Amino acid sequence: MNEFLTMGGYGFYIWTAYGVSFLVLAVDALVNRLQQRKTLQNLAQFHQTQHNPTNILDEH
Amino acid sequence: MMITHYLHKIASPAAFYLFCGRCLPWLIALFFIVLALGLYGGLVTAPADYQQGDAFRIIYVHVPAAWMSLFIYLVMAINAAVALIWRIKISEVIVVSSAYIGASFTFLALVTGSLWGKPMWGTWWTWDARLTSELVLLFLYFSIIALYNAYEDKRVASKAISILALVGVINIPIIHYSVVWWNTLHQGATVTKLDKPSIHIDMLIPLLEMAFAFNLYYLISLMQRARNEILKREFNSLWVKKLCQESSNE
Amino acid sequence: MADFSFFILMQREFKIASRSVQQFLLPISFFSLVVLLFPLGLNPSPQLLQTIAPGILWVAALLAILLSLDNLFREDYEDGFLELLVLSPRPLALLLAGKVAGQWLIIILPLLLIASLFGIFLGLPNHSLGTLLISLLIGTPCLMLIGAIAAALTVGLQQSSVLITLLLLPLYLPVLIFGSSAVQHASTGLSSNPQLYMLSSLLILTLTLAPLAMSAAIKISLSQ
Repeated sequence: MNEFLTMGGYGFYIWTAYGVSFLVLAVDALVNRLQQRKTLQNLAQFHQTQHNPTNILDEH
Repeated sequence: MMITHYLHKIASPAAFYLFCGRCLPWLIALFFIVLALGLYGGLVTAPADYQQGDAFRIIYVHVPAAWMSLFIYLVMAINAAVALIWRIKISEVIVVSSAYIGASFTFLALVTGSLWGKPMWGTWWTWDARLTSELVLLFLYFSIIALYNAYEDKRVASKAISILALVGVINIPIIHYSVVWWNTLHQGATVTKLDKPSIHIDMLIPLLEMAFAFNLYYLISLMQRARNEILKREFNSLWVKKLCQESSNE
Repeated sequence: MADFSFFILMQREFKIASRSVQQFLLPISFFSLVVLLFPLGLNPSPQLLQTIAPGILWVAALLAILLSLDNLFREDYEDGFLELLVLSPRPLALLLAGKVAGQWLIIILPLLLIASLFGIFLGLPNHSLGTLLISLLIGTPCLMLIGAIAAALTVGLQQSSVLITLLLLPLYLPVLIFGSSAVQHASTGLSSNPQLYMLSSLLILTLTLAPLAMSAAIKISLSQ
């Protein structure tokens, strides 16, 4: 197992390379997820106010 | 006839949105399977290289990322042409969504290349032709993203970056060959080229698996981004309204 | 019937420029400044200067043109002249090409003069000065035309000068590489024909395609 981690002395370079790769992909996926959620929330809000125009009228 | 009919159908934002939504879970599952296979093959079963030892294992992230960086630009340019000529909305969305993912892969190719270069060449960076043109590619992606964000109206922005993407795709081969040429003039190909033995089949298969996994990731990320962008652009259309009602009823 | 609209647009640039000396002086003074800074920033050993002179001169020329691009379409955009051009029945690509040609002619002559002057100051051998001038003569229209695409894409935007720089950085590389290496070859006594041929083919490519891209970009910029 230890041998696998040290990778014949190149462990640092290899694991950093793989680590950075999956970090970037994970961040990308996370950003996508968060943006999607935000858009859906905004849309839900928008269409709720659209469906009951009285709500807007009441406020004025 | 059938195909064009099908393409027209899928090119409508609503159909595209639903189609992607149906595909995504399967694609994600497939991505993880292929990724696991590729990682196991690359990190465990592939034999160490006779020259580079275990350090060559970086190839399994570096080369697929470099391939993706070019492939995504190509996809982007084709969609840019489609968006400008036929004004297909989906293509506009694909152009901008691809730019972010392409920039990520280009960045990865540079970082992993640097991490591979340090133990092999003894330096983090050389002005090698490939590294330099990869860096230029990153700037091409950055300029597209920056231009897109500078415009208020996102449909106009899509057209503007489509033009830029097309100008870029004509320039990529010119940039690449001019850099290769510049490089061979200034320094002999001494450190940059370790001799390239034909790659062993046990090393090749994980490479192809990783390349496939990265392609799948691109597809997944592209679909997610495109869906999000479509929702934002079509926020006031009937099908989005229905979608919101359905989700609020659940 | 001959179409003179190209030349009319070109002439218009001259007329506007002749009203203010600034347009002539800005690129040249910027060019001189950049070239001056190198000997002061490095050290004035003639050997060093001679080896880096082609690069310095070309980078300075590139920056001088880059600087002038932000204003290329700005005034015409603000006073509505661009919209008139778009509405005119003449091909927009031709009209814009005329405009860019006019701008290039305004910049190029003083630039060539000052470049050969600084070439001598930096110790370029006399036989390479001709190559310097020819390479600038072929290369700068490429820079101008590619730059005009970027200027057209960003004409209606707020931070256009930053964007132009970012957009053009990758696109300018081939011209810079071939241009400076032509001068470098000439100064070491080698033939610079290959580079000049490459520059010429770049010029033909940009001459044919850039006006089309420019006109499409202008239409998009005006549509928002």
